[in-house]
Amino acid sequence: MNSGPIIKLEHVRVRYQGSDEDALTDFNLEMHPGEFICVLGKSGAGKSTMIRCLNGLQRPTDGSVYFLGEDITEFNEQGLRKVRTNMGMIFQHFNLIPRLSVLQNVLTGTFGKRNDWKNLIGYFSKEERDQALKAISSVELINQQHKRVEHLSGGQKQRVAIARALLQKPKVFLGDEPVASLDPGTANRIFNLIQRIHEKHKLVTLINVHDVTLAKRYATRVLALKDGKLIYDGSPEDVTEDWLVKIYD
Amino acid sequence: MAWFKRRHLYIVIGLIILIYFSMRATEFNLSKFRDFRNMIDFLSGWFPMNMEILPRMIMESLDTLAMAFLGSFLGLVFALPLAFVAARNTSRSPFLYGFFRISLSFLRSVPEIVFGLILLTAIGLGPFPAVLAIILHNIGVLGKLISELIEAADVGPQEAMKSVGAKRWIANIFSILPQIWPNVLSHYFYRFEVAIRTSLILGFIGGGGIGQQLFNHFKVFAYSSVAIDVFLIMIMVIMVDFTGSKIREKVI
Repeated sequence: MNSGPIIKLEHVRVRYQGSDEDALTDFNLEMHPGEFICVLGKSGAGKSTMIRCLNGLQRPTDGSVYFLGEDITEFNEQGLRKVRTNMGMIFQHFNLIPRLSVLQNVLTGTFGKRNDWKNLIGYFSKEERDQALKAISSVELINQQHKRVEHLSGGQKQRVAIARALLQKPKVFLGDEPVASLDPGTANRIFNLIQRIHEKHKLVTLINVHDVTLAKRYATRVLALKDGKLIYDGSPEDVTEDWLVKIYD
Repeated sequence: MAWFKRRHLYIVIGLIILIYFSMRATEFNLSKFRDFRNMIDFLSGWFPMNMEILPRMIMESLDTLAMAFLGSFLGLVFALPLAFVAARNTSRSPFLYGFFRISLSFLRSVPEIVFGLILLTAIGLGPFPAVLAIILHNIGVLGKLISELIEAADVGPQEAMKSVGAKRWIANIFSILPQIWPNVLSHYFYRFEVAIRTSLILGFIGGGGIGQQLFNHFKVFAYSSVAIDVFLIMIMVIMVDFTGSKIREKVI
Protein backbone atom coordinates (compact mmCIF):
# COMPACT_ATOMS: atom_id res chain seq x y z
CA MET A 1 0.00 0.00 0.00
CA ASN A 2 2.91 2.34 0.71
CA SER A 3 4.07 2.31 -2.87
CA GLY A 4 0.72 3.64 -4.11
CA PRO A 5 -0.54 7.20 -3.89
CA ILE A 6 -1.22 8.58 -0.42
CA ILE A 7 -4.24 10.43 -1.71
CA LYS A 8 -6.17 9.83 -4.88
CA LEU A 9 -9.12 11.79 -6.23
CA GLU A 10 -11.29 10.10 -8.82
CA HIS A 11 -13.84 11.99 -10.90
CA VAL A 12 -14.55 14.31 -8.01
CA ARG A 13 -17.33 16.79 -8.58
CA VAL A 14 -18.54 19.35 -6.06
CA ARG A 15 -21.58 21.53 -6.46
CA TYR A 16 -22.58 23.72 -3.55
CA GLN A 17 -26.21 23.85 -2.50
CA GLY A 18 -28.10 26.56 -4.33
CA SER A 19 -25.43 26.98 -7.00
CA ASP A 20 -26.01 26.03 -10.63
CA GLU A 21 -22.33 25.62 -11.42
CA ASP A 22 -19.84 23.01 -10.29
CA ALA A 23 -17.13 24.29 -7.95
CA LEU A 24 -15.05 21.32 -9.00
CA THR A 25 -15.61 19.26 -12.16
CA ASP A 26 -14.38 15.73 -12.93
CA PHE A 27 -11.25 16.23 -10.88
CA ASN A 28 -8.58 13.52 -10.89
CA LEU A 29 -5.37 13.61 -8.88
CA GLU A 30 -2.81 11.33 -7.29
CA MET A 31 -0.50 12.53 -4.55
CA HIS A 32 2.64 10.52 -3.90
CA PRO A 33 5.02 10.39 -0.94
CA GLY A 34 7.58 13.16 -0.94
CA GLU A 35 5.70 15.49 -3.25
CA PHE A 36 5.54 19.21 -2.48
CA ILE A 37 2.60 20.39 -4.54
CA CYS A 38 1.62 24.00 -5.08
CA VAL A 39 -1.79 24.78 -6.50
CA LEU A 40 -2.24 27.92 -8.58
CA GLY A 41 -5.45 29.53 -9.71
CA LYS A 42 -7.59 32.61 -9.41
CA SER A 43 -9.88 33.18 -6.44
CA GLY A 44 -12.94 31.04 -6.96
CA ALA A 45 -11.14 28.57 -9.23
CA GLY A 46 -11.90 25.72 -6.81
CA LYS A 47 -8.59 25.50 -4.92
CA SER A 48 -10.17 25.72 -1.46
CA THR A 49 -12.94 23.30 -2.41
CA MET A 50 -10.35 20.82 -3.62
CA ILE A 51 -8.23 21.02 -0.49
CA ARG A 52 -11.33 20.64 1.70
CA CYS A 53 -12.24 17.45 -0.19
CA LEU A 54 -8.88 15.96 0.74
CA ASN A 55 -9.55 15.95 4.49
CA GLY A 56 -13.29 15.45 4.30
CA LEU A 57 -14.31 18.96 5.38
CA GLN A 58 -16.23 18.96 2.10
CA ARG A 59 -18.09 15.91 0.85
CA PRO A 60 -17.92 15.57 -2.94
CA THR A 61 -21.23 15.55 -4.79
CA ASP A 62 -19.86 12.74 -6.98
CA GLY A 63 -16.64 10.77 -7.19
CA SER A 64 -14.24 9.24 -4.71
CA VAL A 65 -11.43 10.42 -2.49
CA TYR A 66 -8.98 7.72 -1.44
CA PHE A 67 -6.68 8.09 1.54
CA LEU A 68 -4.15 5.23 1.84
CA GLY A 69 -6.34 3.16 -0.46
CA GLU A 70 -9.63 3.68 1.38
CA ASP A 71 -12.52 5.65 -0.08
CA ILE A 72 -13.20 8.29 2.57
CA THR A 73 -16.39 9.49 0.89
CA GLU A 74 -17.96 6.31 2.29
CA PHE A 75 -16.82 7.12 5.84
CA ASN A 76 -19.10 8.38 8.55
CA GLU A 77 -18.19 11.38 10.72
CA GLN A 78 -16.14 9.24 13.09
CA GLY A 79 -14.13 7.74 10.23
CA LEU A 80 -13.52 11.17 8.74
CA ARG A 81 -12.28 12.46 12.08
CA LYS A 82 -9.70 9.69 12.12
CA VAL A 83 -8.61 10.63 8.60
CA ARG A 84 -8.28 14.27 9.62
CA THR A 85 -5.98 13.45 12.53
CA ASN A 86 -3.50 12.34 9.86
CA MET A 87 -3.65 15.62 7.98
CA GLY A 88 -2.29 18.86 9.36
CA MET A 89 -3.94 21.89 7.87
CA ILE A 90 -3.13 25.60 7.99
CA PHE A 91 -5.26 28.50 6.77
CA GLN A 92 -5.07 32.01 5.38
CA HIS A 93 -6.42 33.57 8.55
CA PHE A 94 -4.43 31.20 10.82
CA ASN A 95 -7.61 30.10 12.62
CA LEU A 96 -6.00 30.02 16.04
CA ILE A 97 -8.12 30.03 19.16
CA PRO A 98 -8.12 33.57 20.51
CA ARG A 99 -7.37 34.26 24.17
CA LEU A 100 -5.36 31.04 24.50
CA SER A 101 -1.57 30.98 24.66
CA VAL A 102 0.81 29.66 22.02
CA LEU A 103 1.34 26.46 24.02
CA GLN A 104 -2.40 25.97 24.61
CA ASN A 105 -3.14 26.46 20.93
CA VAL A 106 -0.46 23.99 19.90
CA LEU A 107 -1.74 21.40 22.38
CA THR A 108 -5.15 21.44 20.65
CA GLY A 109 -3.41 19.68 17.77
CA THR A 110 -3.66 16.48 19.80
CA PHE A 111 -7.43 16.71 20.29
CA GLY A 112 -8.34 14.18 17.63
CA LYS A 113 -6.40 11.39 19.30
CA ARG A 114 -7.21 11.91 22.97
CA ASN A 115 -9.97 11.32 25.45
CA ASP A 116 -12.53 14.13 25.27
CA TRP A 117 -12.72 14.66 29.01
CA LYS A 118 -8.95 14.98 29.24
CA ASN A 119 -9.22 17.56 26.46
CA LEU A 120 -11.95 19.39 28.30
CA ILE A 121 -10.12 19.75 31.60
CA GLY A 122 -6.78 20.27 29.87
CA TYR A 123 -4.92 17.29 31.29
CA PHE A 124 -1.79 16.59 29.25
CA SER A 125 0.93 14.08 30.08
CA LYS A 126 4.57 15.13 30.45
CA GLU A 127 5.27 13.48 27.11
CA GLU A 128 2.50 15.37 25.34
CA ARG A 129 3.74 18.67 26.78
CA ASP A 130 7.31 17.89 25.74
CA GLN A 131 6.17 17.13 22.22
CA ALA A 132 4.26 20.41 22.09
CA LEU A 133 7.33 22.30 23.27
CA LYS A 134 9.43 20.52 20.66
CA ALA A 135 6.97 21.56 17.95
CA ILE A 136 7.08 25.15 19.24
CA SER A 137 10.89 25.12 19.20
CA SER A 138 10.90 23.84 15.65
CA VAL A 139 8.93 26.91 14.58
CA GLU A 140 11.23 29.09 16.72
CA LEU A 141 8.62 30.42 19.12
CA ILE A 142 9.82 28.86 22.34
CA ASN A 143 10.29 32.27 23.99
CA GLN A 144 6.69 33.18 23.23
CA GLN A 145 5.10 29.94 24.44
CA HIS A 146 3.03 31.63 27.16
CA LYS A 147 2.03 34.63 25.10
CA ARG A 148 -1.57 34.95 23.98
CA VAL A 149 -1.81 34.36 20.26
CA GLU A 150 -3.63 37.61 19.50
CA HIS A 151 -0.48 39.48 20.58
CA LEU A 152 1.64 37.84 17.89
CA SER A 153 2.44 39.07 14.39
CA GLY A 154 0.90 37.42 11.32
CA GLY A 155 4.00 35.38 10.55
CA GLN A 156 4.24 34.20 14.16
CA LYS A 157 0.56 33.24 14.17
CA GLN A 158 1.05 31.10 11.09
CA ARG A 159 4.03 29.44 12.77
CA VAL A 160 1.83 28.60 15.77
CA ALA A 161 -0.66 27.04 13.35
CA ILE A 162 2.16 25.03 11.77
CA ALA A 163 3.26 23.79 15.20
CA ARG A 164 -0.34 22.81 15.97
CA ALA A 165 -0.47 20.83 12.72
CA LEU A 166 2.92 19.24 13.50
CA LEU A 167 1.65 17.96 16.83
CA GLN A 168 -0.88 15.87 14.92
CA LYS A 169 2.13 13.91 13.55
CA PRO A 170 0.52 14.15 10.14
CA LYS A 171 1.24 12.19 6.99
CA VAL A 172 -0.19 14.96 4.85
CA PHE A 173 0.30 18.70 5.21
CA LEU A 174 -2.31 21.01 3.68
CA GLY A 175 -2.24 24.78 3.37
CA ASP A 176 -5.17 26.85 2.15
CA GLU A 177 -3.57 30.15 1.06
CA PRO A 178 -1.35 30.18 4.15
CA VAL A 179 0.69 33.21 3.08
CA ALA A 180 -1.98 35.30 1.36
CA SER A 181 -2.22 37.72 4.31
CA LEU A 182 1.54 37.98 4.89
CA ASP A 183 4.17 40.29 3.44
CA PRO A 184 6.51 38.78 0.80
CA GLY A 185 9.51 38.35 3.13
CA THR A 186 7.44 36.63 5.81
CA ALA A 187 5.69 34.54 3.16
CA ASN A 188 9.03 33.29 1.92
CA ARG A 189 10.17 32.41 5.44
CA ILE A 190 6.93 30.50 6.08
CA PHE A 191 7.40 28.52 2.86
CA ASN A 192 10.98 27.83 3.85
CA LEU A 193 9.80 26.49 7.20
CA ILE A 194 7.13 24.36 5.55
CA GLN A 195 9.73 22.92 3.20
CA ARG A 196 12.10 22.02 6.06
CA ILE A 197 9.24 20.33 7.91
CA HIS A 198 8.12 18.62 4.73
CA GLU A 199 11.55 17.08 4.28
CA LYS A 200 12.22 16.27 7.92
CA HIS A 201 8.92 14.46 8.44
CA LYS A 202 8.70 13.04 4.90
CA LEU A 203 5.26 14.48 4.29
CA VAL A 204 3.05 14.89 1.28
CA THR A 205 2.43 18.60 1.10
CA LEU A 206 -0.18 20.51 -0.83
CA ILE A 207 -0.38 24.29 -0.64
CA ASN A 208 -2.75 26.69 -2.36
CA VAL A 209 -0.87 29.82 -3.26
CA HIS A 210 -1.33 32.99 -5.27
CA ASP A 211 2.35 33.83 -5.57
CA VAL A 212 3.79 32.11 -8.64
CA THR A 213 7.44 32.74 -7.67
CA LEU A 214 6.93 30.93 -4.36
CA ALA A 215 5.32 28.02 -6.16
CA LYS A 216 8.19 27.80 -8.65
CA ARG A 217 10.80 28.09 -5.90
CA TYR A 218 9.47 25.44 -3.53
CA ALA A 219 7.18 23.05 -5.39
CA THR A 220 8.21 19.72 -6.88
CA ARG A 221 4.94 19.70 -8.78
CA VAL A 222 2.53 22.44 -9.75
CA LEU A 223 -1.20 22.17 -10.36
CA ALA A 224 -3.36 24.90 -11.83
CA LEU A 225 -7.12 25.14 -11.55
CA LYS A 226 -9.51 27.17 -13.60
CA ASP A 227 -13.30 27.19 -13.25
CA GLY A 228 -13.15 23.98 -11.22
CA LYS A 229 -11.02 22.10 -13.74
CA LEU A 230 -7.41 20.97 -13.58
CA ILE A 231 -5.70 22.72 -16.48
CA TYR A 232 -2.04 22.19 -15.58
CA ASP A 233 -0.27 19.36 -13.80
CA GLY A 234 3.46 19.25 -14.21
CA SER A 235 6.86 20.47 -13.15
CA PRO A 236 7.34 23.99 -11.85
CA GLU A 237 9.93 24.74 -14.54
CA ASP A 238 7.37 24.24 -17.28
CA VAL A 239 5.01 26.86 -15.90
CA THR A 240 5.68 29.40 -18.65
CA GLU A 241 4.40 32.93 -19.15
CA ASP A 242 1.87 31.53 -21.61
CA TRP A 243 0.55 29.21 -18.95
CA LEU A 244 0.29 31.99 -16.41
CA VAL A 245 -1.77 34.04 -18.85
CA LYS A 246 -4.06 31.05 -19.29
CA ILE A 247 -4.36 30.48 -15.57
CA TYR A 248 -4.91 34.06 -14.51
CA ASP A 249 -6.46 35.79 -17.53
CA MET B 1 -28.63 64.64 1.50
CA ALA B 2 -26.17 61.90 0.83
CA TRP B 3 -27.13 59.74 3.78
CA PHE B 4 -30.90 59.76 3.44
CA LYS B 5 -33.37 58.01 1.18
CA ARG B 6 -37.10 58.55 0.74
CA ARG B 7 -37.63 55.41 2.85
CA HIS B 8 -36.09 57.16 5.84
CA LEU B 9 -38.66 59.96 5.61
CA TYR B 10 -41.50 57.42 5.84
CA ILE B 11 -39.84 55.81 8.85
CA VAL B 12 -39.62 59.19 10.61
CA ILE B 13 -43.29 59.96 9.87
CA GLY B 14 -44.27 56.51 11.12
CA LEU B 15 -42.34 57.03 14.35
CA ILE B 16 -43.97 60.41 14.98
CA ILE B 17 -47.41 58.85 14.57
CA LEU B 18 -46.48 56.05 16.98
CA ILE B 19 -45.21 58.54 19.56
CA TYR B 20 -48.43 60.56 19.28
CA PHE B 21 -50.72 57.58 19.88
CA SER B 22 -48.53 56.18 22.65
CA MET B 23 -48.72 59.56 24.44
CA ARG B 24 -52.49 59.54 24.11
CA ALA B 25 -52.67 56.03 25.51
CA THR B 26 -50.43 56.80 28.48
CA GLU B 27 -51.93 60.23 29.25
CA PHE B 28 -48.47 61.65 28.78
CA ASN B 29 -48.86 65.33 29.66
CA LEU B 30 -46.11 67.52 31.06
CA SER B 31 -48.56 70.23 32.20
CA LYS B 32 -49.68 67.82 34.91
CA PHE B 33 -46.51 68.78 36.74
CA ARG B 34 -48.42 71.72 38.19
CA ASP B 35 -48.72 69.56 41.31
CA PHE B 36 -44.99 69.46 41.45
CA ARG B 37 -44.98 70.85 45.00
CA ASN B 38 -46.66 67.67 46.31
CA MET B 39 -43.68 65.70 45.21
CA ILE B 40 -41.31 68.02 47.04
CA ASP B 41 -43.42 67.66 50.19
CA PHE B 42 -43.38 63.91 49.83
CA LEU B 43 -39.65 63.71 49.25
CA SER B 44 -38.89 66.03 52.16
CA GLY B 45 -40.48 63.37 54.39
CA TRP B 46 -37.61 61.08 53.39
CA PHE B 47 -35.05 63.11 55.30
CA PRO B 48 -33.35 62.81 57.68
CA MET B 49 -32.91 59.14 56.93
CA ASN B 50 -33.73 56.64 59.64
CA MET B 51 -30.18 55.58 60.50
CA GLU B 52 -31.36 53.33 63.31
CA ILE B 53 -32.44 50.61 60.92
CA LEU B 54 -29.30 50.82 58.79
CA PRO B 55 -27.47 47.71 60.15
CA ARG B 56 -30.59 45.56 59.84
CA MET B 57 -31.30 46.85 56.34
CA ILE B 58 -27.73 46.11 55.28
CA MET B 59 -28.34 42.49 56.22
CA GLU B 60 -31.58 42.56 54.21
CA SER B 61 -29.65 43.99 51.26
CA LEU B 62 -27.17 41.12 51.47
CA ASP B 63 -30.15 38.73 51.21
CA THR B 64 -31.25 40.56 48.08
CA LEU B 65 -27.71 40.38 46.69
CA ALA B 66 -27.62 36.64 47.37
CA MET B 67 -30.98 36.16 45.62
CA ALA B 68 -29.84 38.14 42.59
CA PHE B 69 -26.46 36.41 42.41
CA LEU B 70 -27.84 32.91 42.77
CA GLY B 71 -30.70 33.57 40.38
CA SER B 72 -28.57 35.04 37.64
CA PHE B 73 -25.54 32.76 38.08
CA LEU B 74 -27.48 29.49 38.12
CA GLY B 75 -29.38 30.91 35.16
CA LEU B 76 -26.05 31.30 33.36
CA VAL B 77 -24.94 27.78 34.32
CA PHE B 78 -28.05 26.29 32.71
CA ALA B 79 -28.18 28.75 29.82
CA LEU B 80 -24.63 28.14 28.61
CA PRO B 81 -25.05 24.52 27.44
CA LEU B 82 -28.62 25.20 26.29
CA ALA B 83 -27.36 28.07 24.12
CA PHE B 84 -25.20 25.62 22.15
CA VAL B 85 -28.23 23.46 21.34
CA ALA B 86 -30.26 26.55 20.54
CA ALA B 87 -27.73 28.03 18.10
CA ARG B 88 -28.17 27.27 14.43
CA ASN B 89 -24.52 26.44 13.76
CA THR B 90 -23.92 24.13 16.74
CA SER B 91 -27.30 22.44 17.12
CA ARG B 92 -27.48 18.75 16.26
CA SER B 93 -30.61 19.04 14.16
CA PRO B 94 -33.06 21.66 12.96
CA PHE B 95 -35.69 20.03 15.18
CA LEU B 96 -33.64 20.41 18.37
CA TYR B 97 -32.69 23.93 17.34
CA GLY B 98 -36.34 24.92 16.88
CA PHE B 99 -37.46 23.15 20.03
CA PHE B 100 -34.89 24.83 22.28
CA ARG B 101 -35.32 28.21 20.63
CA ILE B 102 -39.04 28.11 21.34
CA SER B 103 -38.51 26.81 24.87
CA LEU B 104 -36.11 29.64 25.63
CA SER B 105 -38.45 32.25 24.29
CA PHE B 106 -41.25 30.73 26.37
CA LEU B 107 -39.13 31.07 29.53
CA ARG B 108 -38.29 34.62 28.52
CA SER B 109 -41.88 35.61 27.85
CA VAL B 110 -43.04 34.76 31.38
CA PRO B 111 -42.19 37.65 33.74
CA GLU B 112 -40.40 36.73 36.96
CA ILE B 113 -43.33 37.97 39.03
CA VAL B 114 -45.63 35.47 37.32
CA PHE B 115 -43.19 32.62 37.94
CA GLY B 116 -42.91 33.90 41.51
CA LEU B 117 -46.68 33.92 42.07
CA ILE B 118 -47.02 30.41 40.62
CA LEU B 119 -44.13 28.99 42.67
CA LEU B 120 -45.46 30.70 45.78
CA THR B 121 -48.46 28.36 45.75
CA ALA B 122 -46.19 25.32 46.03
CA ILE B 123 -43.25 26.57 48.08
CA GLY B 124 -44.83 29.31 50.13
CA LEU B 125 -43.44 32.74 50.99
CA GLY B 126 -39.73 33.47 51.13
CA PRO B 127 -36.66 34.05 49.01
CA PHE B 128 -36.50 30.53 47.56
CA PRO B 129 -39.39 30.87 45.07
CA ALA B 130 -37.97 34.28 44.15
CA VAL B 131 -34.58 32.78 43.31
CA LEU B 132 -36.22 30.05 41.24
CA ALA B 133 -38.26 32.63 39.35
CA ILE B 134 -35.11 34.63 38.55
CA ILE B 135 -33.27 31.47 37.43
CA LEU B 136 -36.07 30.46 35.05
CA HIS B 137 -36.37 33.86 33.43
CA ASN B 138 -32.59 34.23 33.12
CA ILE B 139 -32.19 30.85 31.45
CA GLY B 140 -34.50 32.23 28.77
CA VAL B 141 -32.75 35.57 28.42
CA LEU B 142 -29.11 34.45 28.67
CA GLY B 143 -29.80 31.36 26.55
CA LYS B 144 -31.04 33.53 23.72
CA LEU B 145 -28.28 36.13 24.01
CA ILE B 146 -25.50 33.55 24.19
CA SER B 147 -26.90 31.49 21.32
CA GLU B 148 -26.78 34.63 19.21
CA LEU B 149 -23.14 35.16 20.18
CA ILE B 150 -22.46 31.55 19.17
CA GLU B 151 -24.08 32.07 15.79
CA ALA B 152 -21.99 35.18 15.16
CA ALA B 153 -18.68 33.57 16.21
CA ASP B 154 -15.83 33.47 13.68
CA VAL B 155 -15.91 30.15 11.77
CA GLY B 156 -12.11 30.03 11.28
CA PRO B 157 -11.21 28.40 14.61
CA GLN B 158 -14.20 26.05 14.25
CA GLU B 159 -12.81 24.84 10.94
CA ALA B 160 -9.34 24.43 12.46
CA MET B 161 -10.68 22.33 15.34
CA LYS B 162 -12.61 20.16 12.90
CA SER B 163 -9.50 19.64 10.81
CA VAL B 164 -7.42 18.36 13.75
CA GLY B 165 -10.05 15.65 14.05
CA ALA B 166 -11.63 16.83 17.30
CA LYS B 167 -15.13 15.64 18.19
CA ARG B 168 -17.91 18.07 17.44
CA TRP B 169 -18.73 19.08 20.99
CA ILE B 170 -15.09 19.55 21.98
CA ALA B 171 -14.42 21.48 18.78
CA ASN B 172 -17.42 23.72 19.45
CA ILE B 173 -16.47 24.47 23.04
CA PHE B 174 -12.86 25.27 22.26
CA SER B 175 -13.38 27.21 19.06
CA ILE B 176 -16.37 29.26 20.24
CA LEU B 177 -16.28 29.76 24.00
CA PRO B 178 -12.96 31.66 24.23
CA GLN B 179 -14.15 33.99 21.46
CA ILE B 180 -17.46 34.90 23.07
CA TRP B 181 -16.37 34.79 26.72
CA PRO B 182 -15.98 38.57 27.31
CA ASN B 183 -19.41 39.19 25.81
CA VAL B 184 -20.93 36.38 27.84
CA LEU B 185 -19.56 38.04 30.97
CA SER B 186 -20.91 41.45 30.10
CA HIS B 187 -24.35 39.97 29.39
CA TYR B 188 -24.12 38.12 32.69
CA PHE B 189 -23.27 41.18 34.75
CA TYR B 190 -26.05 43.13 33.15
CA ARG B 191 -28.47 40.36 34.03
CA PHE B 192 -27.09 40.32 37.61
CA GLU B 193 -27.87 44.01 37.86
CA VAL B 194 -31.36 43.46 36.46
CA ALA B 195 -31.84 40.57 38.91
CA ILE B 196 -31.27 42.98 41.82
CA ARG B 197 -34.14 45.14 40.63
CA THR B 198 -36.26 42.04 39.99
CA SER B 199 -35.68 40.67 43.45
CA LEU B 200 -37.00 44.01 44.79
CA ILE B 201 -40.24 43.49 42.92
CA LEU B 202 -40.38 39.89 44.12
CA GLY B 203 -39.96 41.27 47.65
CA PHE B 204 -43.35 42.91 47.16
CA ILE B 205 -44.92 39.44 46.92
CA GLY B 206 -43.12 38.18 50.02
CA GLY B 207 -39.81 37.24 48.47
CA GLY B 208 -37.86 38.75 51.37
CA GLY B 209 -34.78 40.93 51.23
CA ILE B 210 -34.61 44.71 50.99
CA GLY B 211 -37.47 44.73 48.47
CA GLN B 212 -39.93 43.40 50.99
CA GLN B 213 -38.69 45.95 53.56
CA LEU B 214 -39.12 48.74 51.02
CA PHE B 215 -42.67 47.62 50.35
CA ASN B 216 -43.48 47.38 54.07
CA HIS B 217 -41.99 50.78 54.86
CA PHE B 218 -44.01 52.32 52.05
CA LYS B 219 -47.23 50.77 53.34
CA VAL B 220 -46.73 52.19 56.84
CA PHE B 221 -45.62 55.60 55.51
CA ALA B 222 -42.17 55.21 57.13
CA TYR B 223 -40.56 57.43 54.51
CA SER B 224 -37.33 58.01 56.42
CA SER B 225 -36.86 54.23 56.35
CA VAL B 226 -37.80 54.11 52.68
CA ALA B 227 -34.95 56.54 52.08
CA ILE B 228 -32.45 54.13 53.66
CA ASP B 229 -33.79 51.27 51.52
CA VAL B 230 -33.50 53.25 48.31
CA PHE B 231 -30.02 54.45 49.27
CA LEU B 232 -28.82 50.88 49.89
CA ILE B 233 -30.35 49.67 46.63
CA MET B 234 -28.52 52.36 44.69
CA ILE B 235 -25.22 51.45 46.32
CA MET B 236 -25.77 47.79 45.55
CA VAL B 237 -26.50 48.37 41.87
CA ILE B 238 -23.50 50.66 41.50
CA MET B 239 -21.24 48.13 43.22
CA VAL B 240 -22.32 45.28 40.96
CA ASP B 241 -21.88 47.46 37.91
CA PHE B 242 -18.40 48.49 39.07
CA THR B 243 -17.27 44.93 39.89
CA GLY B 244 -18.64 43.72 36.59
CA SER B 245 -16.72 46.22 34.54
CA LYS B 246 -13.51 45.54 36.55
CA ILE B 247 -13.78 41.80 35.96
CA ARG B 248 -14.52 42.33 32.30
CA GLU B 249 -11.47 44.57 31.93
CA LYS B 250 -9.31 41.83 33.42
CA VAL B 251 -10.77 39.22 31.08
CA ILE B 252 -10.31 41.15 27.86
